[in-house]
Amino acid sequence: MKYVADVLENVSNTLNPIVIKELRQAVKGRFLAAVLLIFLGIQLLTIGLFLTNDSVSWSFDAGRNIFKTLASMLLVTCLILVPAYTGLRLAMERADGNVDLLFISTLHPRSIIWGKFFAALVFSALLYSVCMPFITLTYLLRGIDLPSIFVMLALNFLVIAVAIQCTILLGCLPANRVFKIILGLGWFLLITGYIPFHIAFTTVIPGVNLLDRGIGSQIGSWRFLAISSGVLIAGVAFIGLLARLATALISPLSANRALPVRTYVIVVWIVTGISAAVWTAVTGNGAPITVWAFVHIILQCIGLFIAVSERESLGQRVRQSIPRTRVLRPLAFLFFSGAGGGVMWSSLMIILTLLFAAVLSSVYTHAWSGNDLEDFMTCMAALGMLSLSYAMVASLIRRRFLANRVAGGYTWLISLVLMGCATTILPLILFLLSGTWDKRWLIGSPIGPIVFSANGDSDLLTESAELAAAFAVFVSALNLPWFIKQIINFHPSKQNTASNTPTD
Amino acid sequence: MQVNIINLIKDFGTTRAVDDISFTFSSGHIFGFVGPNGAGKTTTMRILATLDEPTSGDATIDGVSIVESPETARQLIGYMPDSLPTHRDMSVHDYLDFFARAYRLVGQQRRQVVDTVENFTNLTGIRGKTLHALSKGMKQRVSLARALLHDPPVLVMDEPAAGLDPRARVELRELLRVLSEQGKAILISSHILTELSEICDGAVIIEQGKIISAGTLDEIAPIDAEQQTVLIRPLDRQDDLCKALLLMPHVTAVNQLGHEIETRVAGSEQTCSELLENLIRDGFRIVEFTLQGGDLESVFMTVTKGEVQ
Repeated sequence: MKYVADVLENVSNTLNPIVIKELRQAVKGRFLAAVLLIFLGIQLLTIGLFLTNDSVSWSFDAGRNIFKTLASMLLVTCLILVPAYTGLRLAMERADGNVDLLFISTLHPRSIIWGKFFAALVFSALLYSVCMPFITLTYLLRGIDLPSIFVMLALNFLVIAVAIQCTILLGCLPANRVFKIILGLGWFLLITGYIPFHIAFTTVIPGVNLLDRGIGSQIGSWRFLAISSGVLIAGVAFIGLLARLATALISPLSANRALPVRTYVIVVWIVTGISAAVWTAVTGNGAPITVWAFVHIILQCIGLFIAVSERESLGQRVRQSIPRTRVLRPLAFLFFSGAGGGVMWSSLMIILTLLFAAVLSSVYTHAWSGNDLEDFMTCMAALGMLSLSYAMVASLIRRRFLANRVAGGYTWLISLVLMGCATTILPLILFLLSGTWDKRWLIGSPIGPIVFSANGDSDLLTESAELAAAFAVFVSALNLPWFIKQIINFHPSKQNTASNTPTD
Repeated sequence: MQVNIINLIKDFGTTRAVDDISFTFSSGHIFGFVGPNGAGKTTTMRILATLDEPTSGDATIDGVSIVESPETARQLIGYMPDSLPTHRDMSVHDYLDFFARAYRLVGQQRRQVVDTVENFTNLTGIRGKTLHALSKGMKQRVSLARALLHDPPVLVMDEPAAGLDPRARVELRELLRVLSEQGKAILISSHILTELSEICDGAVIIEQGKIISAGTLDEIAPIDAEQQTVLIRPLDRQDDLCKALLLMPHVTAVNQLGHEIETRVAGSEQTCSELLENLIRDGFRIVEFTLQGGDLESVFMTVTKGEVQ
């Protein structure tokens, strides 16, 4: 008995304090107990209705049909209630300034985010455990194999985990109450809109869903292993990225918030790049590389808008950690918080991604058909350059004309407005002036290259890329003094020479 | 343990919240941090607690810089912010246990520390109560208990007495005295200057981000040897006393303040003593005869203009 107590004591000491706090509060609160009881009641009712139906006795699909219903109910409950509960609690704690107090303890912001995440996962696991006896019953009722049950539940759990981490990131955003409510409602609508698609693709649509043929029959195949491991790696990597971003958001301004995020993205970039290359080499299909490049370039385009909203001068504490050797300093510039370094880093990552994809395409020439790869690369390059251009124009406008009205942290909003104008108002004006619609008018819009690529319009795509390149060069030249100033100012702060003599 | 604030500057955009301030406080002393609203007190305290970073300057705790080694500095500081704990569904004990865990206290040691701190701050009787059910005074005690969990040698307290009833204020004052006797260096900001006067060994007066005056109470009190203010409370015959005072030598002004009479005397403390002697000899029954000035409140009112940023 003492041994068990010691083990429990050790577990208690090792556990993240946030997890313990969240679970204690959940157990003492009424919310979780109410959800568990209601969920249990609904499951009982559902399975009771199924079992009282005569068709159960002769149907070979009874187990599968009940499983589909129960798994869908579990997904809906976990995907809506658990993220909502976690996000609301975090947003309230942030608003009340309670998180501030944690920073003066030895608890790292990273522990706070992971603590919230794991606590939410435990809630989800509790809901899963309530469902387990009924799901076991579905196996006994025929029509479904054990691998199908496990894989489906694992896939749903991964989706729930991603949703939880997304919610935590939203809860960490530095925004006022109104903006947070709007964000929360938007996120809720997105999740509720996603659920029918997820259920349809995994359990309903014939030929596509995972259950009709049974996963047990496919589990040893290369295709299944490649897809499932790809989904798992992508899911876990995405959760990690969201966690890093959330950690950066709640870290004090005095910290170098960019370093962990950028280091993580580089590691994920390398690991997923190599995985995609191996997958392409084994299957002879270029899709993994295309998906890899697409995802990373889109992430870096978003990164450009975040970077341009960062502060331009570094605080004392960050400057203390700038390398004193001149050799390491240029590299460090890319990994330190700051607008200039962030823009350079994202631009460099876009170039490297395109280069890596180009090198692989020259090695595995048969992995892509026709002009697919060329169009894709042109589209992505145009997209990257347009994002850079709009981010830099927004920064220039804010600095020159709105410096006293718009804080640097909202430069991304100006970028969005500019891109929105290029996508809607500019084509509309051209349409009104000429009286006819021409898709060429989307040439300055970030969605232009995607539309041209989707329509297979290579000429317009090339024109779009050329215009984007000219735009990017012009805007970068205008911002050159801004970059140079930040590079010059990027040096470690001098040791404090202030007198230690107090005035009193 | 000595805390040095060295040429601290903090800018928020174009506004300079803290303007090149330097002062020192040390173990076993309570230092008041006084200034009008918006003077830069909370900003300075947040910088000291490593929650904000200075634009320039530094603060050191026994040589540990809050800029260079914030992690080490955090171990040495107990910070009590002006906001109160708001976790709705958490009990006092769970709250303290959580923060004890956050300070990496484990097992028996953690339980012992939480119990000791609960005892010290007189929270044992309400340890099972949820935080939102507590009064403001109780919440202040919980906040103080949280700041003491890792036994920091330095305590930084932002308006700990705000909104407390007289009994709670007295209790807080006693706790601070005990902590000071235990050797802690305490920096405390408060608007209730009479409270600070009673417990502080020294004070820093700040206005518009700049230090107006700093030092022990004796050092910062502007002593005017030629002019004294005396507050006199007679048992009866208040009007007669006013008339008599006006006829006395050295009395330059007389002002009735309810039951008390504020009297300006040209001269030293010796002159005041002679004034009291004369009044008693003339048959006035004096209940209270207090020499004004030298306390924190009057110093504060004299040296500050009430300007904010």
